[in-house]
Amino acid sequence: MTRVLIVDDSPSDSRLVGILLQDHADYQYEYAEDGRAALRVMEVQLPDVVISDLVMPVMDGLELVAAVHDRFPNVPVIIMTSMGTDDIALNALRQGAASYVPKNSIATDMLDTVERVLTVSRRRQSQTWPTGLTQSSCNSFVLECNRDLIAPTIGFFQDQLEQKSLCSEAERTRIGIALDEALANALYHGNLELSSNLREQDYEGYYKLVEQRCQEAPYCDRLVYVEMHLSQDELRFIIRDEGPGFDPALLPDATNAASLDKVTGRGILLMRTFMDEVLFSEAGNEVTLVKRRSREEDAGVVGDEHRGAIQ
Amino acid sequence: MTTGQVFELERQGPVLLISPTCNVSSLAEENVKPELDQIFAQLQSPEIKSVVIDFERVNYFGSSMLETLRRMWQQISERGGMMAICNVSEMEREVLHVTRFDTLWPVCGSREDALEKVL
Repeated sequence: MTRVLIVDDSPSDSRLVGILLQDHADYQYEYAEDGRAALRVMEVQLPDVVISDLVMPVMDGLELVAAVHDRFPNVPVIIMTSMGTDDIALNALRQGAASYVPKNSIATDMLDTVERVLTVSRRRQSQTWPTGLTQSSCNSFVLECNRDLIAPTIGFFQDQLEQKSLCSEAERTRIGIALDEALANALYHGNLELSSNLREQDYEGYYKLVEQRCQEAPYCDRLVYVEMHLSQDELRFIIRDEGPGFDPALLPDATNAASLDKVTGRGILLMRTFMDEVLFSEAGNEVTLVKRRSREEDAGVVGDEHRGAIQ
Repeated sequence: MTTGQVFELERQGPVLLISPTCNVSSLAEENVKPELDQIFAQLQSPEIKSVVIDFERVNYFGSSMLETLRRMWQQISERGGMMAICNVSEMEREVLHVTRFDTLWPVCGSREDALEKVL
């Protein structure tokens, strides 16, 4: 049985949608007269889809879209629009509405739209891991000596996390920054053996050497290996280069006032800030970045805007 | 106004306004270098007394941009000039804070505030 919540302060419009749905044996529907009433209904039992008017007293359709997106992100909202509200409808889509149907097309388009939105929603939910059930998985890449490969690699991992609904957008960005620092380190400092001190002392010379070593063996033949391991407890990235490695203990404290005008160590500081753990291998040519899953957040105790770890 | 692949440059009297238009970390550092060379050449000009970097169109940056900021600040402050940055996102503010770069130059809420700080 598919539960549909129809939200409209106009009884005639609500009834029209209800009449359309009652012809479909699988649909069960109920009404709410405005956004706030709709949220009260949803607190008791979640519908599979919400169909809402835009203009309503107390809480309008836009506010309802934002509230549902925030509190019940798996429930899609379809907006019903009147003449002249196209801009507002567009705004509703930006805020997370799944689709919209003009009121003068309800009879012809509403059922198709509901079916389409539900199909997408169910597909997405089937990809979302329920709490307590986490698939272990691993993705890996091998990067040749080309800085342009770093951004798409990070983008792939961020997409994976988004598809699995594992992180907030802000957290994906933090992980992206840490990965970018780790991959750039592996390429420039690891495989190309370029030192930050050279960049500080001779900026032009540093970039000449970048260009030179990108064409010169053995530097240009070295690869960067990156793996993402996802388990019930954590997200783990392992990045390994084929350079000689380094001793991370020798890096200066990048937060020390005396080091503020130095180049060295800032990337590793950002990795440590944005991940829960950063571990270097003994040889120094492999770094492991760990982000732990938080049980409290899994249970939904903390709101999305406050989430600092993987959900 | 000059618009490059990554940076948009604008003059307001003695101030050079620099607006990154995309996240630098998604580009190879060596590809950004020609534009940076142009910026650093302008910073050498005696007509430029101060610099404002406006991050309104960028959501985040990493150590590569921090290093660029540090060099700009070094170059302008050696000549007695000032630098301010503005319109940073929460993420960028966090990056500036953990690296303590927010102690080196003012981080302002708007371009107007930043211009006021350096003029």
